[in-house]
Amino acid sequence: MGVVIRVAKLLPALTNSQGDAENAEAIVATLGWLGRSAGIVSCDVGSHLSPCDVFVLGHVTESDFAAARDQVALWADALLASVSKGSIILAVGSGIELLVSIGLLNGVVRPHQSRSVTDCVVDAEGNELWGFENSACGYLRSDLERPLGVVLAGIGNGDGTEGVRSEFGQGLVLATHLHGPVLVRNEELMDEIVSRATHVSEVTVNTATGQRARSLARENRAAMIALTKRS
Amino acid sequence: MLRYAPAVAVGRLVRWVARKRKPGGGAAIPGVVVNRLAPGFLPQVLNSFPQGLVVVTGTAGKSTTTRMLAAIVSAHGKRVFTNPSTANIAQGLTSAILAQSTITGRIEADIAILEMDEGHAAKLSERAPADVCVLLNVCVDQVDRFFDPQLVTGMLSKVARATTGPVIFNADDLSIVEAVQTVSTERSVGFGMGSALRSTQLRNMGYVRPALAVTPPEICGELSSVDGRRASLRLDGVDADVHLPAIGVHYGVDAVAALTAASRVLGQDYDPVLASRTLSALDPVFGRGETLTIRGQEIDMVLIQNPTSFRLNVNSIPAESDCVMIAVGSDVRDYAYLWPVHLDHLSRLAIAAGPKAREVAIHALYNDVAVDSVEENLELALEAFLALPRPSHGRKTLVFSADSMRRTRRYFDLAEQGVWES
Repeated sequence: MGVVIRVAKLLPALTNSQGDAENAEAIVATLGWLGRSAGIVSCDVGSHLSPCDVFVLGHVTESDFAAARDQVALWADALLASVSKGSIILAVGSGIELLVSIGLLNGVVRPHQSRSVTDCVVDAEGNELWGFENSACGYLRSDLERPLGVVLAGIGNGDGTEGVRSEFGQGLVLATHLHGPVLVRNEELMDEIVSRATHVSEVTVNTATGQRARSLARENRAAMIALTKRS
Repeated sequence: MLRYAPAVAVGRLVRWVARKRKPGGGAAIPGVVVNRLAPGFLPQVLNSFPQGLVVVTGTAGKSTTTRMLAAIVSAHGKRVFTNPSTANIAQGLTSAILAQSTITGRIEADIAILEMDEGHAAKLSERAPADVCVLLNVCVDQVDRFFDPQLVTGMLSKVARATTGPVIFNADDLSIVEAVQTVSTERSVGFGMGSALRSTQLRNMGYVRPALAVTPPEICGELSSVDGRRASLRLDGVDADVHLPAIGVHYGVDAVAALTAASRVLGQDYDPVLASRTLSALDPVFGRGETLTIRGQEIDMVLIQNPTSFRLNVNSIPAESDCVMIAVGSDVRDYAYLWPVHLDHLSRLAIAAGPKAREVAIHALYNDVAVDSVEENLELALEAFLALPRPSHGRKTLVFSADSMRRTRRYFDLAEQGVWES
């Protein structure tokens, strides 16, 4: 099974109201289907943060935001060090603002005119991503950051693009407004993270359960994209 | 009230047409029409009950608590008007009124005891303040509407502030404690778990802010212990044992909420023995731990309305059950917020069904739960479920979202069987 890959759920008690923290579980399940050994590290308020291969930081509601920002500030040095050495961090929703607060992202979080609560379809270099956004804010990227793609339906960052992709040292920062199990719904994103974490160029899931889950997710995404574009 | 007669007449006509066109369905349409034609009608009726209006609200447990409270108050000789669990928003409430009112909109009842959606309760409290309110809990729910639980706390706070009499509140939920902060101590009446139960169960209740590391406010109604369907509680210093409608600590919390509220609604007339006896005789509300017989097969019906009820109910399914169907409809706008519920308690999922069938199946597979089949068409799924052989353990269990529950009820023509309607 080789080295155990460590996947950290950052502040799961504050960041899972829309299922964002479950991306960590989904990464571990996918690694399991690949025959790789992986484990979840749950990092709550007050926890020490040790280096991990992947960090997942979900959306925090406004009422909990100050507490989350304070904790992330305490983890800032450890997070920056880990990502610069090659870790990957996925941020969802207001997790983007938390990354901005510690300098892992360098753009500006901007409030939307009205909250965007809708399905979102994104053209990501030929792949169409789908998810549900429920955000009060968008994001204006810095010059060094790229979007995940161009918005075909929904609001995303608010400037016609959605999400952020940014190299940080040897690591990667991925951020999105698509809530919940965005990696399950969009296997290209999952595979990018898994590929980097395992240093394997191509992700091939051979187990029956994994293949079925991913096949159903592809079917579901195609149906949801068609539905979203029609509406 | 006479001025509302034309609107009531139109509402009744709409109701008749809706029932003709869609037997068992279209229940909310008359309410939509009347609320638009006569926006003052609903508040006027809610304010018209001689012994007042009792509002039960919060995320989880509204239907069960309302039913318990209505039954207890009714057993004390009061004529109670109450609403079906599926009619807890403004149009549903108006439809429920139209089903029972005179042509002028008058309801022949002494008191109204109504469950209300949190958002609608807050809005209605401006024009129809409750005489007594029961605030149950704040859990993650409908994130497309209630994206921040703090919003819900604000809504419940508004209901509490508008209430003219006792505010019955869950002292184990800090969101609720915050919502009643502005209510005077004379009017606020707490209920909650005893210390032993708190230490083992509070974490599992799904409250966004459980009062884990704090000393709860003083309470009048205490749930001391739950053993299967038996619960022991203490109300104003008097011990009582009750039989719950189904297994689950949350039903015990609903029971202590209902008994505490009943004691304040009835005042001097409250008879603790009669109250406990009435509560103990209740059947479950449709879909809340209820068992129905359909075409000769006993099937457990479980309604899921949010991650909390999904978690509590899935965990209460016996682990060895091997014939479970989960149906989730388009009432769940985005399935993602149900992902924090871990399904690995189930040994397998026989059918993932409804418009969100694929999402249910994907969720189960990522939780390492085998899925036998995926069927988006609910009616086909229900037929396939009935056609499955008898399970090797226990009964077949049908878990559904509210929309799938309504469609299932309609499909099997269950309106008259085991369904509690006002």
